[in-house]
Amino acid sequence: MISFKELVRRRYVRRGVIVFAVMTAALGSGVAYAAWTSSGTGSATTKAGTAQAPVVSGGAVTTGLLYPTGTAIGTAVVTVQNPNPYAVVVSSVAPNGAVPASGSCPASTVSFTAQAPGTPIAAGGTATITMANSVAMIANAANACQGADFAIPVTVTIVSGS
Amino acid sequence: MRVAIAGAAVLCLVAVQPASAAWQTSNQGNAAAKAVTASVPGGLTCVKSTGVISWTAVAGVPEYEVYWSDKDQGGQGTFTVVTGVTTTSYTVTGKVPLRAKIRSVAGPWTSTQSAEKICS
Repeated sequence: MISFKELVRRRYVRRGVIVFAVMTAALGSGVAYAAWTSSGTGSATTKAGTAQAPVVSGGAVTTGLLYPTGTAIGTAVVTVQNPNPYAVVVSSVAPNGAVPASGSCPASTVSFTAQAPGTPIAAGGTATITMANSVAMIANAANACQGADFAIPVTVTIVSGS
Repeated sequence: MRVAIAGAAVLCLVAVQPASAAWQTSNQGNAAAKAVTASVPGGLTCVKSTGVISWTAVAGVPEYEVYWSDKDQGGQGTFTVVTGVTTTSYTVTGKVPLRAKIRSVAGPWTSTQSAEKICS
């Protein structure tokens, strides 16, 4: 038969276990316990890296040439360099204002539709992204626009990860 | 007590999920695009025995117009026009082509007609 004293002792033990478990969950998540401990003084410094912006430039267009249709039948090509020491994904290529004139072909003759290419780029690497059916030329474009090369202003966004 | 310990374990699992914030940066620049030049197709050939008229593709041009005639050179203005040809050859059936011309078409843009080819 268990004595009253023993019952009280077990109750305290039980409470202690519960409190320990909850404290472990609340405070100890992700903390590793080292078997060896030591102490010392000094200073430690650490600094988070800074995400570097991608370097963006145009690429050579060999397919998906534009002609007047008013629909996005043309191909845009952009080259993206990742200056970061980690892999990234090109999450979006968005228009950044009107497309300027090209020679005698007036400004805003062509327009670009935002794309989400999802192209991976290794650390320090470069990727050429070909975006089919992303550029439209107005249906009544001037003859002077034949053979024109267009520089389409875009904003390229990269996200860490691969 | 077991319930309490199990609950604490679940809390631990939830709490130790890795950080998932990704770094994101943007920059501006230019993408490139290019327009077609609807130039006169070259390499035009025409064969009387097969009725095949063929030519060399113009880069980026989606279609062609084919002009052919079963009249000799004295029959000016009697060309039959075939529009919307998306390949680089066309076969005349039921007649024998004697002359042929071609031009490229990109929407409203068209090239001038090629020089007339006498079929061989």
